[in-house]
Amino acid sequence: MNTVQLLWLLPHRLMSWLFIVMFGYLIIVPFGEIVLNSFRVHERDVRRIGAAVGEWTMFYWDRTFASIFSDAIFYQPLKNTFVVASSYTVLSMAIGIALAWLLVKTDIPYKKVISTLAIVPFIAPSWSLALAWVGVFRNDSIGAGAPGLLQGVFGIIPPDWMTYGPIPIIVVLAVNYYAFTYLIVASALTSMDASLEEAAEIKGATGFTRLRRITLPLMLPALGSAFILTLASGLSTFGVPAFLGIPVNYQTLSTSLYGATGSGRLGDAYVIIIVLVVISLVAIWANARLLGSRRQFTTMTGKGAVTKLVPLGRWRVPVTSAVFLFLFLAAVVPIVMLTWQSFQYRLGDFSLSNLSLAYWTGQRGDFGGVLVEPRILAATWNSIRLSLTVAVITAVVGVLVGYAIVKGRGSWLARLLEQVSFLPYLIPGIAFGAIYLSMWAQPRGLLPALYGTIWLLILAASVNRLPFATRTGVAAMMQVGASLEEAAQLKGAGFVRRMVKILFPLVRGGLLAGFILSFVSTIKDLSLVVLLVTPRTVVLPVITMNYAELGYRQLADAISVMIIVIVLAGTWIAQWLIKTDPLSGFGGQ
Amino acid sequence: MGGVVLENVTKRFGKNSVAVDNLSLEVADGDFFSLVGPSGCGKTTTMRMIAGLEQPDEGRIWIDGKLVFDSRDRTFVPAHRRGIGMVFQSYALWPHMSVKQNVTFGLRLSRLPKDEQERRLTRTLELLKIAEYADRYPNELSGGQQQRVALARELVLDNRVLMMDEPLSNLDAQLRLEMRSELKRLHQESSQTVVYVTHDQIEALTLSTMVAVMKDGVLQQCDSPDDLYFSPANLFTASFIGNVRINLLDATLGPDGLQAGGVQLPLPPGVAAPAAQRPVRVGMRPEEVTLVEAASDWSFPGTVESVLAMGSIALVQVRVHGLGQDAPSVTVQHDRSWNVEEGSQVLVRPEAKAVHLFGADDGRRVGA
Repeated sequence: MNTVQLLWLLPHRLMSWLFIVMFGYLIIVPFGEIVLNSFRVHERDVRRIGAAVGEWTMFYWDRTFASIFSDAIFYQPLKNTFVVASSYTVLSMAIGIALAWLLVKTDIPYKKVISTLAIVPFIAPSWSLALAWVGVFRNDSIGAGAPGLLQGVFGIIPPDWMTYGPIPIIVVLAVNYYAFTYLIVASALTSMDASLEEAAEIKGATGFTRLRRITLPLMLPALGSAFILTLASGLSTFGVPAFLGIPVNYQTLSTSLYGATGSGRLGDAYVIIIVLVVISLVAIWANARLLGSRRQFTTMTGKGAVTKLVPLGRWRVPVTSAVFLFLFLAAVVPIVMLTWQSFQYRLGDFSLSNLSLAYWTGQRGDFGGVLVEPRILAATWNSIRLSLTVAVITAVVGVLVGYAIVKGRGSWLARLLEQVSFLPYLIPGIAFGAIYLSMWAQPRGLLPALYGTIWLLILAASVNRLPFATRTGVAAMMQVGASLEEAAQLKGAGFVRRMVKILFPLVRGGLLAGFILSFVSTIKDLSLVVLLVTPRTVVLPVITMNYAELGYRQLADAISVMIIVIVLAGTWIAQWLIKTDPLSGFGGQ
Repeated sequence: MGGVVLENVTKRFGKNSVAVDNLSLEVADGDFFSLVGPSGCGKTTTMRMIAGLEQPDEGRIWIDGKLVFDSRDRTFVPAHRRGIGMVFQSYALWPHMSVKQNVTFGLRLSRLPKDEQERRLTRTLELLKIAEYADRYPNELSGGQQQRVALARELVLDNRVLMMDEPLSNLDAQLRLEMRSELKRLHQESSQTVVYVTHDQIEALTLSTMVAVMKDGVLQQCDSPDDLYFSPANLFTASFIGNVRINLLDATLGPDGLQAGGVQLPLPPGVAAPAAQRPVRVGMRPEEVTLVEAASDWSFPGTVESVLAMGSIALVQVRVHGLGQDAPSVTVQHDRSWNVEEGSQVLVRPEAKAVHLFGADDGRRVGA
């Protein structure tokens, strides 16, 4: 039997190779180029360095790390990044752990309402929370010069440091990302075998001893991944520091990268990209070290008896009130704030007579409302076709990669594919955008220069979502189990027929949910596309940022409200689909 | 001492569901005491109440002569002060600790002198043959080895009372047999009181000195394995206990003796024919019914419906003539000393002493 026939009989091997080559070209090659180009003279610096284009130089590394500019473009942003990331990580983990414990382990009432509201700030785009924050804490001397909710309605004038700068960034990020910890810890607590704690209790380990010796060590993997996820998101996040930091020149690494790229200092940008990726790598490596390899226990099956709930007793009313107050502030107020402000004719005038539809369907100065303005309609169309295309591509690629990985389980080829498709996860969105900006500025091989076309956005967003798509695909394929496909194979069904007739129909529920989640996370994404759009390919989050910078707050708010409605509806439909999937667990392992 | 006493213990979950209903039990010191029943019968809840992991709504519990729970004055001794050990169904081995750390966890919390702790650790690891795995982590052990570690973790503490919740249910059949004899050996060596929960009646019969059968939270019978098998107290115990399901026939007990359809059945010893007619159910274990070649007293002709050969024995389904169309066929455990084929005519003969009678209305045993 020759090689070609063998590959046809084992299509997952062929697919694995194709995907590895493709992803290698789309992820590893551009990153390699970034590293190389950070050591090479760029055209605009020929005279400054005194060397020809493409010659080796340490100029950019020097300028970033050891020049009079270093402090402004690197060290200060680096310091700010760590201050913001570490503070908000502590804050969001505290919120997440407390909420998870209350919901899983205590008899707090209204659990359904709480768990629904708790993930709203996570689903909403982070930049929309930042917009809402400014809407509440603005005063008439900073930020568009109009009073915010606190001043306009309650007469409290917030100090400037409450409007922009580190404190707002930390609080908004914590509200945005506590759901990482909450979701991870809640699922770990739910699935933890209660008898592990009971066995310790019988031996006299009660209260704090049990918490320290048993519960905490058992939760450590979950807490570790929550910590790494939160911290890594904080290190690379762009939207919130862009909206809340740039106006007062409070820079983080991501906004500094944005500034460097925007002003054409690509060499510096490359150096910062490398630093960001290295920080991600260190974080992931630290996570792996923390967990150790011998004692890995990711599966904690919940075979034990039903967990006894801790009665809150006399704390029931105060704790429940505190939780609802928090959720009201974190999930309800921002949306109300944005909606209200989008109806204000004059910004900051909170009287009823000031309400108007001008920014929705009317005309105000040069700009029409969001539902009539041609530039916004064009951006809406771009956003929709971008997100739809990305969702289709990632759903299909996700299933195919998942198939190749699950079929080849245990082989080095499958492991390599799994690791390669995980790589985009290590590259922060804004850095990924910067990499693709320089990669696709010129034609490559058979492909034309994609810069200026929607295809660049589609390609970047699809590759960026690859880790999530792969995970969905692997989970779906594991669920189906090999025997269902093998039964079709024995009946003589070829690869394509097995895919179309057996596998796709069986995983359609999970597939559709993945499709919707892909759609909503693409439509709200700012950091990946902010460097890649051109006026012709601008999308809604970027146009929102532009309007906010220009002071057209109501337009920015109206667009935010539209996107929030889309992403909330989409996420809830996806959750409902996953839950009601009649085939879930069917024929699985 | 070292026994366990339950008095009128009731446990409710929610308003309408009674998990354990007015249960009274006495476990003597050194007993191997099994709680058996189908899933949801309340056996695990009973064990958890003895352990102190669950609080009864009513009743009293003594362990080792000490009152540990009383609903009237709200006495509640917490689990770790009850002097008990417990092996969980899932083993509940702490995945972040090595075998040695798992086993010594309780020792370190006890106030025993260091050298005594060491002595016990060594002894227990050897007793359970797990000394060579001492530095491994639970996820590096097979199911049987994990089971041994879970046992070691309890035995090392030398508690008077040891509870086990379906400890063998996660093992494959071969290992289960091996661990069963291991458990028996350990019990004989340690002379601890063991309270054992299982849904597997064979396991309960082979291991225990006493067995309590439960159903829907209510105690059905509490007896030695032999009494349970040979004189089941009611229909439920009769059909729950036994390798092959007992044959049950509708019959009438009256002045004329025992009538099933048109067939006269032998009266079991100690049961007299009553003056008034009474509907009963007749239980006959397949292993106590024989196929005979020559007609004799109490032999009934029938047609073989199916033969299930199982090595040295065969389960033969016989439709006994005259029992009526609605009556089930009778299962006979045949010793295969002669060949039986489907469709052939045979004679079925129940042993008189093996005929169990139960009231058709209340399911209780009739006679001794």
